[in-house]
Amino acid sequence: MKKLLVIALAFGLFLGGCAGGNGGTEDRSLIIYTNSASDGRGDWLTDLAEEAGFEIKVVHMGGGELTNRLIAEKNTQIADLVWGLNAVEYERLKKQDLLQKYEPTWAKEVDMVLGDPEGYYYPIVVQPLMMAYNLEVFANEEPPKDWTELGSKFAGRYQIHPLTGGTSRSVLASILVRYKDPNGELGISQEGWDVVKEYVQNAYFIQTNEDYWSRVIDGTRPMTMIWGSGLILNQNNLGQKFGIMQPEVGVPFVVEQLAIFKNSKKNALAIEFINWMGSAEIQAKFAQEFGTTPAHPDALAEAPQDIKDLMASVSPQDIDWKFVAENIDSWVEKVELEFRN
Amino acid sequence: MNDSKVFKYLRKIGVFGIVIRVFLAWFAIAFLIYPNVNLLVSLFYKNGEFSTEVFGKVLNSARAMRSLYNSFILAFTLIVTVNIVGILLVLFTEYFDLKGSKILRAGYMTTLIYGGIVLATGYKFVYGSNGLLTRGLVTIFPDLNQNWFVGYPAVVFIMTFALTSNHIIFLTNAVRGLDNQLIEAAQNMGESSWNIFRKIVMPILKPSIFAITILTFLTGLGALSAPLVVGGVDFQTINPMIVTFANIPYSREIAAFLAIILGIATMILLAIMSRIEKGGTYISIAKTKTRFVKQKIHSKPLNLLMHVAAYGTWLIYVVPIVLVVLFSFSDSRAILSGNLSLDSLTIANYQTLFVSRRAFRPYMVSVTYSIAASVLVALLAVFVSKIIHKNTGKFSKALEYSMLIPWLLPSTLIALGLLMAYDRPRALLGNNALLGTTYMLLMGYIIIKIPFSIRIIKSAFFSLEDSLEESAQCMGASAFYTLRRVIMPIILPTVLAVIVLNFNSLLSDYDLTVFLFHPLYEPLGIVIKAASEETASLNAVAMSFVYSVILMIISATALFLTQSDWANKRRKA
Amino acid sequence: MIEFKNVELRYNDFVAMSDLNLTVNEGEFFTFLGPSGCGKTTTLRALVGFLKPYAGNIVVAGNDITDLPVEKREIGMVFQSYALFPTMNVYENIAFGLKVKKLSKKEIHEKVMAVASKIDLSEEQLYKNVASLSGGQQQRVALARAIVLEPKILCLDEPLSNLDAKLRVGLREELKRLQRTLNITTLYVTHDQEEALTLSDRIAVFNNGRIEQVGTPYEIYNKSASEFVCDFIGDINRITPRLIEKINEQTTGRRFKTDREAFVRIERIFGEVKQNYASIKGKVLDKEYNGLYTKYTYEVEGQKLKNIEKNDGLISHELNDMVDLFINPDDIMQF
Repeated sequence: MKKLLVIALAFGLFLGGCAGGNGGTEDRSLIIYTNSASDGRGDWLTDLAEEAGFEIKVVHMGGGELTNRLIAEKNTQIADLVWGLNAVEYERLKKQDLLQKYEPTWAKEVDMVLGDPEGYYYPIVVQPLMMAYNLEVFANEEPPKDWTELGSKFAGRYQIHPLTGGTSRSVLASILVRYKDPNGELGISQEGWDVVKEYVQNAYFIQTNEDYWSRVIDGTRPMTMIWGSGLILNQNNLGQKFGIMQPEVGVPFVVEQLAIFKNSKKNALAIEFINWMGSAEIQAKFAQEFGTTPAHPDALAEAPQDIKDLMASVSPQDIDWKFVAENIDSWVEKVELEFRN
Repeated sequence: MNDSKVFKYLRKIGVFGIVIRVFLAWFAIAFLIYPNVNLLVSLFYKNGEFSTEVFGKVLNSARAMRSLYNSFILAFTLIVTVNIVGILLVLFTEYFDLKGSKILRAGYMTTLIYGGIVLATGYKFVYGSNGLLTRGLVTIFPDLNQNWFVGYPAVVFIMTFALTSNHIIFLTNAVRGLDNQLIEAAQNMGESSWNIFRKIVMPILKPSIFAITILTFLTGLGALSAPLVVGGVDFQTINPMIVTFANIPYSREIAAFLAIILGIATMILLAIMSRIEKGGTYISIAKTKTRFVKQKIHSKPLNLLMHVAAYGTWLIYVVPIVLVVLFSFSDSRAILSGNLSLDSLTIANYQTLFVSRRAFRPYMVSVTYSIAASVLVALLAVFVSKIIHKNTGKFSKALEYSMLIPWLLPSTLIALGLLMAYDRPRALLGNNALLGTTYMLLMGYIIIKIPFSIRIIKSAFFSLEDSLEESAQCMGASAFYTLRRVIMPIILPTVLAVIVLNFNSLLSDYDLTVFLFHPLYEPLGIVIKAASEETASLNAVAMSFVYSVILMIISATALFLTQSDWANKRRKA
Repeated sequence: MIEFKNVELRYNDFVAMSDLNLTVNEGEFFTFLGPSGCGKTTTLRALVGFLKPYAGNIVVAGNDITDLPVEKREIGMVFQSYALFPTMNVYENIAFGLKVKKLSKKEIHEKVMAVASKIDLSEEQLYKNVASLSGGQQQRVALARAIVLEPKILCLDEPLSNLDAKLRVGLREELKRLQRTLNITTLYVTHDQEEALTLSDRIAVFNNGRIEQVGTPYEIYNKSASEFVCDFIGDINRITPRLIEKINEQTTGRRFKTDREAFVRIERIFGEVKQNYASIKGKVLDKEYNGLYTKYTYEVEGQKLKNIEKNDGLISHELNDMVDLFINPDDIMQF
């Protein structure tokens, strides 16, 4: 018992000794919160940034938690910049008055349809969200055209991800925004809700640690919701090409962005870092290393061919992300409580 | 109370007693009451008035109602099944004289070192549509539905075997403490083995079984991974919904409301249990206990049957974990499909873990935090138990109930409450803020482990003989000295068990950690989550297995250091 | 030495002991005797300090200790269950209180050894686990642990009740011897009247939350102050008013009231002729041969009487014999 107590006390000293470490004088250190540092990306970037003279600390956590935590830390700003997330989450941060308006050097080079028209966040990586299907199964059958007809025509045959994740939420939003109606419930017309109810109730929700691709391949549930890089990885891994549903309105694009914080004391350094990180050169390296789709056209030009092919085949759906950001939580709540079986 | 009574009371408990009580009262207010009440108020009071919207939302949701119903069904089922299996395990390893009981025990203890999604997936490797057993059955019965392992029975099956950890630790101690003379006396009076067990042994084990039953019920209500993995469409429980809603700021009041419903149920159960418990506490009246001797089974067929049952159960425990370890050497596709080919095994997964120079740090951080938190919470639990053991006053009642608060709320909400309360300097903390310090996570870990620790350590106090403490007092020892030198050594096995169980479960915590960790000290849970996020990597599932295996090694080491015969001998020496 | 002054003891609302006034002298072996639930252990616990009196004061050696915490009272106590610390060996158990007092290792060792020899614990036994000792040895350790601190007062709560009969007698004698040599004021709680009579200098008989009588064993036995004491101690014959009248007829001097029962101890009814004793006739209903003596039951005037006769060969009755019995009126107690 005594020994354990000593350990506990030693720990206190250990923490006490180290805790003050992030104040620093004249340093070039930055704390970056992100949800896309996994798979070695964070370490890779840290090393590359070190060569460029930045001392960055990448802190990774899941998307939803990241925003929640940033909002919770409003009174004690810890992060200097945020990397990743998507427009919906950035709109929430904006609403909380956390973000600082800025303009990186590469702002003019990227398609700002993907970013924030008000200039708070800027796009770096693009992820189209799609419904992929087994080409063999749909060889003699008309493949689905849009999310809106899945429920009525393909009941039980399409798999979607749980609404806890960003992918499924964004797709849900992409359906609902088409039925915008100021008089409807939560800003959506009854027709819209009917479509979503059908879509949700006839979908198969993918469960944790389930092999949903094998069901696509064996034809039991030949369609699955998937994000761009996931599709490419799996096509290569499974050695099979899949069809992509092509709605007329386009597909939702989730765009990772970069933003800085009002309460951070290192805005100048953060902008300097963003100028470097979002540049075509670094983004191209990133794409080659991790198979991501850069938002920067010059970087995309240097990306692997299958990424370019994919991007050529899909077009972004025009979505009012501000409207989505204001309502998505209540939409998800309604769907979770009322529509799911 | 008049002044002189207060004065007398203060004199009785002494300076140290006063300091401890003031500290505990402050702790309860600052970390258990204020943050959580503050959070709940902010959730339910909107625009200055109490919002009742949430009641309608939840009551009108068929899914919420069904999930709630399922949770209760599950909890009550588990009370029965887990107790049956748990008691059987202890009979196999401790009560009956079976061959290879040490191997049996090692197998039964595997639930102590892994759990959650990985455990449920491990069971799927055996019973799932592509599982070992299913494939074997299909060759015999080609018409078998390969998806037979789904829904309520599957969830109950997995959770029944997963939740026997408390039996293995705490009931084992109780059986080892049985007085052999009691059993000999009963045998002498011609009782059959079965009757001896039922009439003599069971009543003695009752207090331990009660404590374990409460924990089982709570875990059943809070079921998360097993329903997610094998619950299917028909058997989803409420906790996944609570977790979902707790993470959506807009919907947090729904999470809180559902949590409160579960909390009330828990409270009712606790109240009933402690009433029953009070009536039936067994106090050993034996002055000269003799060491418990394992019972031999004399009937040959019965003996064989027992061995078959014991080793059959052992297989249920061991096969999933063996498969988990094997699969951690394969890729995600093999894990997802359940097809293991031995020649495709590779150590590549493990290599990717340690290539980075930053790879070791999270282990250091998590191990340090987990040790510190579990030791401190055990100490806290000892002091609280000491106070509620002997006192029935308002203070100790209030203390006891406030210490149970963390049981009532999901850890996400506890984390949010802490964040909300201490994101700025507060007078309660001497004008310090917790956010942005390394202590934030430590406090969070301590808080979520308080109720479990107190429940178990309190039981240990109540099984102490009063006169031990009194005689120490008579010999001039202060209350603190008595606690330290007399009581602590006696309850140390229990305290150590609590420490190691808390340590193991904190090691890879994510839900609470993600909100409270200091950016410069990333714990393991965060790293694991990052590595096993499906959006991040094709090999995500394999990585989650690799991390689980490494956690198993750490946890098994911790268990060995505290629970093994080797450790017991060292401690006594 | 010890004074209870108007002490009232309560458990919540239950009055366990009311208006207790009692003085125990220095060096006295004083016994609290009574049936279970009579308040004797409660009183002892109040003296040791486990229970705060609801009213009144407890004074030891002139100092009011009513509000003094247990650990400051320097009263040794041996518990019914012995309460030995299971995680310590015999030596550590005995040394416990000395360590609390922060004595040097050397002093502790000397004292432990001294007390061990006093109560016949071998050196080998000192390093044994307490759980491995027999009941009698555990009892010795418990005693050693209490007296090693040289307390002013030693309290023993039913210390022999967990031992077998023979060991009990042996330890009883040892206890008495030890108490004499140490000359320590001793309070002894028991429900066993034989223990009380053999050990005590004085006895307080407890009943139902109050003291019935305080006195020497002789006084308690022969001059019982109440029906309860008289009945609780020793074997007693109840004499009905009808028989009392019969006795009154034969005696000069003393007259007994005939509106209530009277009592006489069974060994004070004689089967041989005694001058000036009341004489009554009885029929032998039953005889119990016991080696040392025989216990007879007679029917006398419609009631039963018992007596014992030494098996010295002088008196022997058979069933249904009519026998003359003699009672000394001075032996009859009436309350």
